[in-house]
Order: sequence, then C-alpha cells, then structure tokens
Amino acid sequence: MNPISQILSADDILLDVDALSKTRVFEEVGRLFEKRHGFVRAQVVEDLCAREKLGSTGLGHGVAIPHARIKGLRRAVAAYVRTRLPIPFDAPDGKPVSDMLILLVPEQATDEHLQILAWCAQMFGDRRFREQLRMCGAASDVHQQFADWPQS
Amino acid sequence: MVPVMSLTAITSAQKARILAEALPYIRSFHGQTFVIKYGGNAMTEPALKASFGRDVAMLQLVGMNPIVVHGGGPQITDLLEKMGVKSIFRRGMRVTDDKTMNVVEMVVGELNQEIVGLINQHGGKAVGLSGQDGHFIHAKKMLLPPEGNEKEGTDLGLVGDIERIDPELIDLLHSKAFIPVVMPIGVGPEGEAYNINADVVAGRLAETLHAEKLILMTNTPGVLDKNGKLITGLTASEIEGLFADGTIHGGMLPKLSSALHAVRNGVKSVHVIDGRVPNALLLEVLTSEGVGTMIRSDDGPHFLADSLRYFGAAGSA
Repeated sequence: MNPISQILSADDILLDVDALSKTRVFEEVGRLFEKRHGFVRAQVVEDLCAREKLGSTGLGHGVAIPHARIKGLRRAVAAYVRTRLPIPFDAPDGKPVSDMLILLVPEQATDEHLQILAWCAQMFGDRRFREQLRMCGAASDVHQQFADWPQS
Repeated sequence: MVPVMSLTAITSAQKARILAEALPYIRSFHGQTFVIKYGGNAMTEPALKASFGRDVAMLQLVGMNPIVVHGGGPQITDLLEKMGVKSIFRRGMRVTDDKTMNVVEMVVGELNQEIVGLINQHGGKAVGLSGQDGHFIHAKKMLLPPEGNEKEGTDLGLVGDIERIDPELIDLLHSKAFIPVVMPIGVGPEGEAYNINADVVAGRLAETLHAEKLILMTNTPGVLDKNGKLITGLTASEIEGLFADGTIHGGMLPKLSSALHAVRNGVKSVHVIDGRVPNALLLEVLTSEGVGTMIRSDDGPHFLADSLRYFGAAGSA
C-alpha cells in the first residue's frame, strides 16, 4: 500500500514556487498547512528547521524529505514542493535541491512513521521516478506519479 | 517519457532557460576544487576527447578549480612492444627499469601535451605538470609487501609511492585561473623519477587540496553490485563491506581504495563516473542527476540515521 498517495492530495502540491532558500520554502509550506489543516505557520517552520539542524534532509540528486513532529497532530500529513530553481540545501552531494516532499507527523512518532520516511527515501532513490516526477507539469500528474510508484 | 530534443531544435528562449537553470549548480560549486582522473575511452575516442576538453574549460570558466590527472593508458604497452623492450614481470606487475621508465615518460609526456591542447582549444588555460615541476610530488620506491616465505618485499624498479605533495604550485596556478594537467611522475630523495599509479596521485592530490570532489572517469557505469546493477551511492563503511564480500575486484580495487582513502581524509565526495557518456563531467557537476556512483565518508548527513535519532529524541522527551 502506498502511504504517500493516501495523504498527499493534489491540493497539497505546489509547483514552480519562487523560493530561494530552505526557510522560504518552509514558510510556503507553513502557509499551505495553515490553510489546509489549520496549523500555526510559525510552528511548522520552527519544527522543520529543528530537524534540519540534526543534518540536512537532502538525499542528493536534487531531492529532499524535510519532516517534523508536530504537537497536537493526530495523523501524518504531507506536501510536495517544487521550486522554480534549485536552492542551497547542504545535501550530501553538495548539489542544490528543487524537489521536496514534506512530512509532518504526530509528536509521538512511531515506527510506522519511520517506515514511511524509509519508503519515501527509497522512492526518491529511483532515478526513473525522479525523472518522471520532474516531467510533470500539473499537480494532478505529480499526484499520479506518487500513486503509481513502484511500477512493476 | 523524456522527450528527445536536439539542441538545434529548441528555441532561443528554451536555451536561455537551460542556461539559467545551471546557475544554482555553478553557485554551489563556485571556487571549489575538483580533481579529475582522466582515463578510459574518454581519453581515446575523438568525440569524447573534444567533449572532455570543452567540459573542463567550461568548469574553470564558470569559476571552479579543476585539476586533471592522467596515466599512460594502453599506449605504454603498445610503445614498449613497438620498441622491442622486453618487460620483466614480478607477481603479475611490470618492473619499471630505466628503459621502461623512458618509454613511460615519453608516452605520458606526449599525452600530457595533447590534453593541455584539448583544453586550451576550448578557451581554458591548461598547464602541463609532472611531479618534477617545483618538486611538488615527493616519491619513494614502492616495494610489494613480502608474501609466503619471501624475506623482503618485491622490487618493481622505478615504481613509486607518494611521500608528500606540496600544494603551493597548484594553488598558485589556480589563483591565476590556470588548469593544472598532472602526469603521475614523482621525484625521490636523490632526484630520481618514479612512475606512480595515476588513481593514487589523483586521490592524494584531492586530499592535499581538500577538494570538493574527486572524479574518476572509467569505462563502467560506476560501482556495480553482485547482480551487475549500478549502485548510485556508497559510504566508506559500505565500500569496506563490498571489499570484504568480494563484490569489488579487478581494476576497480585500486580505484576504490584510493576513493576510500580520499573520503576518509577530507575529500567531500568521490565520483566513479562513466567516461563513455558525452559531457559526463557537466552532467556530474551541473545537473541534479550524476552519471555513476557517489562515495562519501561515514560522517555528514545520513537521512535515515538522523531521522531515527530525531524520533528517538521524541520517545525520551
């Protein structure tokens, strides 16, 4: 069962975002989650930044999976952001990042949440997936790419 | 599917956009040092040679500091045969006597000038160097460690190991926008020249210069697993695992030993790339997708381990 397509709807997907830094992306995400789920925007930014301090969530190849535990959250939520140009991210390969899957999980994070992260890391590790994702011009196509992985 | 586009078939606006998209990569690597070990088909096929010269010139012109290191390739064996020089082999390795060393110096010297020319034709300012120049590569005689009931190590003649590299000459050239092209010849305490493995020279240069990347150009897609599938990323300890279980063998062994040593001694990442791919260097440095295997140390961000730590902190809070 694909854990991402269940929680990522087309409304959670932002394409061609004009952000030039990690923090600006997190602010956009905070705004989105505020609108979609009633979160406190500043809290989302702060919690995402706290996780980055432990080590960049960049995976290399221009992709990253920023994530955070959020107080009071009952089930995991996700967003996908693609910036117009890749932004500095301290990724392991030194390359800037343009494609980010953002995951927010309850404060009492469980093994299940760690497994979702591992699953996402594996998905983004698939070159064909990354390339197809970058070809998507509309939020609905992005959503479909996530739903279709892994391909047989 | 990815549409196949010819560069002549896209509009000026699209071309401009492609160029603009390179900016974040140029910015990330501006002023960074890249040591490139040149070899394999990229050094013998005319189209790939031209593409290499262009790529290196471009990387320098957009603000990076490339250094090229090369060996002699198959040309050494060819010329030895042509000149009728008989080689002595000990434990499968050729002994470099004075005659052989002359041939080695002749072949690598000629290749060196050819590579300098390739880069200069495309607007780079390449300078050919051997370890003799400014005495920047200090070498010593290499002895193969004794095996079985041998009392002493095996002598391979003028085959050397690196004692020390002085970075001043390379720094000076980089400060004036020159591109050093280095042949793997080092100098011993008595002024004698030694032939050194080019992968080793590239690795040690990268360490001495605290390079951002060491790029090894090969004739393979990268490091392959037991099933022949490309491994795109490896940590130092994962490489050791592949040594131990025999996945890595043959010509890949010395390359990856160099890579392992480099990432453990301050080189940010090592890339084993497919030199048969046109513009392999530009793909590796200026686009999100590389063309081979990236190797890095056990330090630095490791996504799942860091997340586990982060979630662990949740449990104890």
